[in-house]
Amino acid sequence: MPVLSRREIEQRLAKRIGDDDSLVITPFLQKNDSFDVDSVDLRLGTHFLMPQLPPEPFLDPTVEKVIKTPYLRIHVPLGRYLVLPAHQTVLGATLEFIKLPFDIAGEILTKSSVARTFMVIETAPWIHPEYRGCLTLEIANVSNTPILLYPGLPIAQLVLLSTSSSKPRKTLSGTYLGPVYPEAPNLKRPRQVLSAMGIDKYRHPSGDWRRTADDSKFD
Amino acid sequence: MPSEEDQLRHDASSLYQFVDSIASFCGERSRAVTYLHATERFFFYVRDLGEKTKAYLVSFPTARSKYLDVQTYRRKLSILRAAWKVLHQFVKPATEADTLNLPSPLIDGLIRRFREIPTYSKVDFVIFHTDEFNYLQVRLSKLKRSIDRIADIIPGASPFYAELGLIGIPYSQCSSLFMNCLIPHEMGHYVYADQEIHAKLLPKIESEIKRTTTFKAVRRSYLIKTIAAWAEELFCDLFAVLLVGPCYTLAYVELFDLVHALDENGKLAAEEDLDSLTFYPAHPAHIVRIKHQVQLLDELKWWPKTQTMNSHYVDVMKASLTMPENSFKFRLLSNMPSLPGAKPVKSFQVIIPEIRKLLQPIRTQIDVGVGEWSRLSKVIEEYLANGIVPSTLYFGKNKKSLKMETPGIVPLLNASYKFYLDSMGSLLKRIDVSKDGGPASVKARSKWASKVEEWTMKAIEDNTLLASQQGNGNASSFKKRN
Repeated sequence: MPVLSRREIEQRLAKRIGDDDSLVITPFLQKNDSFDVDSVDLRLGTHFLMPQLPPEPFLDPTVEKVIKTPYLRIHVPLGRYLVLPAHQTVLGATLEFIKLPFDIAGEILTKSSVARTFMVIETAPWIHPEYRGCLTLEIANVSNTPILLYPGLPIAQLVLLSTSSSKPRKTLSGTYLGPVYPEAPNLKRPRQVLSAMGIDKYRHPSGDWRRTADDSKFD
Repeated sequence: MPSEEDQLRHDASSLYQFVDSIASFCGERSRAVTYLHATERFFFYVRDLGEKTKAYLVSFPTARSKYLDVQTYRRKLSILRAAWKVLHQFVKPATEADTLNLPSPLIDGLIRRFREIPTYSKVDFVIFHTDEFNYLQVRLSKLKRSIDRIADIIPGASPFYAELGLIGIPYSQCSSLFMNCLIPHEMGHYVYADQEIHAKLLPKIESEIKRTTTFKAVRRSYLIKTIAAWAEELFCDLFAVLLVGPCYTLAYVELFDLVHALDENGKLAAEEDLDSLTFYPAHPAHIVRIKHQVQLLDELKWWPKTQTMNSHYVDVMKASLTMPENSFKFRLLSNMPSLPGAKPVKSFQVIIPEIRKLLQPIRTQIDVGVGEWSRLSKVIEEYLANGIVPSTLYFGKNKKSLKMETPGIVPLLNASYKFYLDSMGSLLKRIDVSKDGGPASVKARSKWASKVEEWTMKAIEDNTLLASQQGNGNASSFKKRN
């Protein structure tokens, strides 16, 4: 799985959008400064989802609404900052919208200089071929000091790797397609997943045991 | 009964509380969320004016006893209260329109587009929410008059910003791209007032009414006022078309639900009571407005390609051109004296060439963007069909002829609107929408139409950044005609 060099990345960028092997990174600001020999810097975007205290004492994947509501939407225009307190987390997104070719996967890494402030920007770093959208970043300040997040600053490195056996897909699918803002989790509901696995009951957060087939009480 | 002095002290303190509540409302809200630059300036102004008004009120009764008699001071308090009541109605709707509750990149882009007119290179707009399902521009003269009254009384109070307009948008459209293509019409009202178009048109309207009617003064004055209102609306429509092209007309068709005026053959139903064929005191008939927009689009070379769009919105535009001038009615408000319906409409038609003539100076100052749209529209649509933000476009027939371009707001809005109306199917085919009921479902179409709006908005925002980086004010290939 060879890593793409700067020259290969530039070649992919300069392809027409109709070409399945085209790569998109937009807006590509300060192109020369953004490239390393084998990676591209990505910047922090201006929208955030700040976790709030949920209405329930736990994050319950059985109720879709409960997963979406504990986030406060915040817009921080370029030139301003967001304070991320010590040991706190926030969902952000890259300023750049990317589209990967059918034969390229990506990995997003915290820039080393950012990592040395004990900030982690991504815990699900793998990007599948043909992904398109701004990347949601799970930003965590694991230091003991509050950190200021300035949108527009380079925060991540995108490494691209070629995959040998991919073919262009006719239809695009995926849980997160084409986002331009950070996206709240879209968790699969445990009942359906367990039911498909052949498990016939599950423990509901209310304390009841329920049938995975139809969510009725299991006596 | 309390003494006069006590009464005044009470009135002053009551006004102090009123002003304080408005000023602190501005301050508290603006710290919690972010606003567009113009809105922040507006809040800053209101806060500053509030502080100065409060300082004036606090100085009572010392100031009063030195300079004023009771009646004069009472009158001043009354003027201040009335003026602050006018300000009061704009503060809350403006605080609700923070950057998360506005299509901020679009508004920013439209303001930049407006500023391409050299005369208006410094104008800014405060956007606020309204609960009406309509767009409106605040008549600044009224607001300025109120503020001037405050400034006349309060020592050190600055006059209201000269180059600031206020526009209200329906709160439900706070994230819409397409519907907000109507905002340029409201910018047109700013131009209408600034260029004193009313004063320029009035003699023509008066002489036309005098020539064609024998009405007495009251009726004549009512007619003149009505035709002047129609002229303003049409001027603003044509200004909007000049500024952003056919996307304005398409949004207009959508806002007023004009597709319902079409019969099953795609023709306008010539029913007597059809709302869209009726002139009302505040505005001309919708179809007349559309017709003149389409005629201007044709002159500006937008129409040949626009009319090829496969959309019932465009059918309305086409049908408007076929409507005979005598199909329109004028409906008066019930309490007005009866007037023959045809005459005012005919008089208005005589005025229309004058309205267009007054638009000419602006027309010579900007590139309408049709050339860039013709060149980039298909490419932008291809990006959208692939689910990609169209901010940096690569296009060309082969590798050697490959070009890279950043589209401006005009081609982006128009190509995106066209895509939304006639090509959503191509996007829905590309995406697995089985969870949302398949490509034919309303849910899927609605969800992905919103995505198209988001991608276009992101492209407009990126365009701003790329422009700042290039330091030329606009990354598009727009050139001002000078």
